[in-house]
Amino acid sequence: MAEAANKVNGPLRLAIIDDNEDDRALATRQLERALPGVQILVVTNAEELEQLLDNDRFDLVITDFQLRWSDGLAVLRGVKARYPDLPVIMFTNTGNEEIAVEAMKAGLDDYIVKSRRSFAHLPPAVQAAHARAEARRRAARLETRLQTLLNRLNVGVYQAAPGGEVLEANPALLRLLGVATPAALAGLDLGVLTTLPPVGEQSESREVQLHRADGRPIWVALSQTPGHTGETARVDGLVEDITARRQAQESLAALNATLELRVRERTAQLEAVSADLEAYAAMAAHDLREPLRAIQGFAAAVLEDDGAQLRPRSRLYLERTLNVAHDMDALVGDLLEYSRLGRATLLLQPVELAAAVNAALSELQPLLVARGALVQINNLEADVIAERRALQQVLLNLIRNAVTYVAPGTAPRLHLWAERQDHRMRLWLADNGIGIASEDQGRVFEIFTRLHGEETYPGTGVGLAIVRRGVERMGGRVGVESTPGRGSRFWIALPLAETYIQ
Amino acid sequence: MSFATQTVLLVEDNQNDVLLLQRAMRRAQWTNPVQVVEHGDAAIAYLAGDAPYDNRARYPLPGLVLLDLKLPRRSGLEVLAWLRAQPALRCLPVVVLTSSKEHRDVSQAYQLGVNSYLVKPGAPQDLQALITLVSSYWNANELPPILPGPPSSAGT
Repeated sequence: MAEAANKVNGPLRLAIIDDNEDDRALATRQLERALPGVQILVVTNAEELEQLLDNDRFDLVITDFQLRWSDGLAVLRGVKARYPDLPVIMFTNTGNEEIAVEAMKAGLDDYIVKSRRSFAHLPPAVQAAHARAEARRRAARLETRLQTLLNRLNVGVYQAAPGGEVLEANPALLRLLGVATPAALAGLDLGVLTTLPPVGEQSESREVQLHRADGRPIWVALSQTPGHTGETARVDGLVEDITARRQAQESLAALNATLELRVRERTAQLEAVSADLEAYAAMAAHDLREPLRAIQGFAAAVLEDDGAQLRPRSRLYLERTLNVAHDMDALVGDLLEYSRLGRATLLLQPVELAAAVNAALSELQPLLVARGALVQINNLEADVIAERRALQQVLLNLIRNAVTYVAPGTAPRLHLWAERQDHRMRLWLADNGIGIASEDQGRVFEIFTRLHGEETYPGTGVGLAIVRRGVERMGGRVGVESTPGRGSRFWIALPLAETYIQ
Repeated sequence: MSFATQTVLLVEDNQNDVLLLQRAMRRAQWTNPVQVVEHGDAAIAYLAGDAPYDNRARYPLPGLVLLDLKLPRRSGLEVLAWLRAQPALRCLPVVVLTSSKEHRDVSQAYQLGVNSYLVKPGAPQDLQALITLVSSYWNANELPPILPGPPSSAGT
């Protein structure tokens, strides 16, 4: 094997094939003097040559032409047959021009005519031949390594004639394009590979689509640079398969698109449901309240027209009918308001707190007068972010609640004031009512929470739920502090208008 | 021509409301004869003088229409739109009397040229008060429009 003879490291080992002992000695002396450390192997017959070729390690062969057992051409061919890269120098005085030409054709590295003086030419010739062989070996090694890398690389590498054909391609490119041989590339449309992009865009890699031999499209990242082979312009290119990445991107985009579609569909469904609810609410307003109005109307008519003639018990029943219908009308109204606050888009804008409180108080004026309520107001000068109608509803329910839950025989006293807390305005409403036990304070804002019997304190159980829902829909919070028997302090906190404007 | 003698056309499908409104009118001492129709098509037939309302002596052209909105067949708003498109009836006073507080109904009614939009109150005493108010408004202060005469199909 070539590896056995091709010594890379260590002292230089030369084989001298010459029958003349004097010549061998002269050559050896010259070489040893000029190349310190050189090792000389002597071959004087066919057996020794066989032995050398089979087993020894050496870097270069110097052979005479005329040998008793062979000739220099046979030796040359024998060596080159086994080690094509191993340098051989012919050193002879028995050769001629014909022999020299033939030997060169067979791969001879140097030819030196043997004379007394020419022994001195041997060392530089040896050095030069050895150096050339080394260079060839290094180049071969590099090429092998490069080739191996290119073969193993999953990146297509090619060289092309600008605007012409792909001249060279590594296996990766062939695999990528689904062809077996570089020649088969001629059958594909690879114009994009052979055409250089405009100067300035050349260093960047582009994403382009190619079609494989089987017609399947693939996406590749292509980077090209102008190159040269001698004087001829070339295009050097790298091709990376990014089909999987593109597909991932595309399926992601598709997923996003369907997601948006699904969101739109879902939104449409919800809007439809919401519209249904809206219609249902309007139906409820009309169809539930109309019979209630009729019940109240007829009961009141009988009481008015014939009340004096009725037995007291019949009067009582009719009055109860009237009251029940009235309470149910209030409940339906509260539920509609509660549901409206949950669904409606609230147009939030700065609202004067004082004006809203005054409007609520004046709407409740009949109730306040009937209960003999005293109302005190302080420091309400602030604009909060709210929807006028929703805030109005919140305040109505809050004040109505405060006036309702008062011990019998006690005139309600209400105190309203506001204080700033960071970016919010907190509106307090303190009452002298019956108060709420601490374990109940957490649930008074829940819908249908009623802490007292209908006979003692009538209510729908929706009022404070309207307060919380309305305030929370406007970005605020609600709360209560209370001591049973000593009244409650309800509060609602809404964003301040000035912070909203900033 | 005094309003007190003119007919009032009540367009109302709810018989309970009809009874309660008639009672309220009695108690408010309305002197006007009241004609009742139960749906939009009947209202238009009455106003146009079509059968079975083609006898104007029996079914006089009203001086005021009290119009519910949620009606079978043609709705109150459709009746109003038709009425305002008739040259002979364009100025006839129409008062909507409905349970709908919906913003859309209110604004459409006014855009179609209603003279007043009243919401049916919940409490019986409020209904009484409302009817008394309507009666005194139209009787005491309002000058009714002078109508050019019944529509051609009524046959003058």
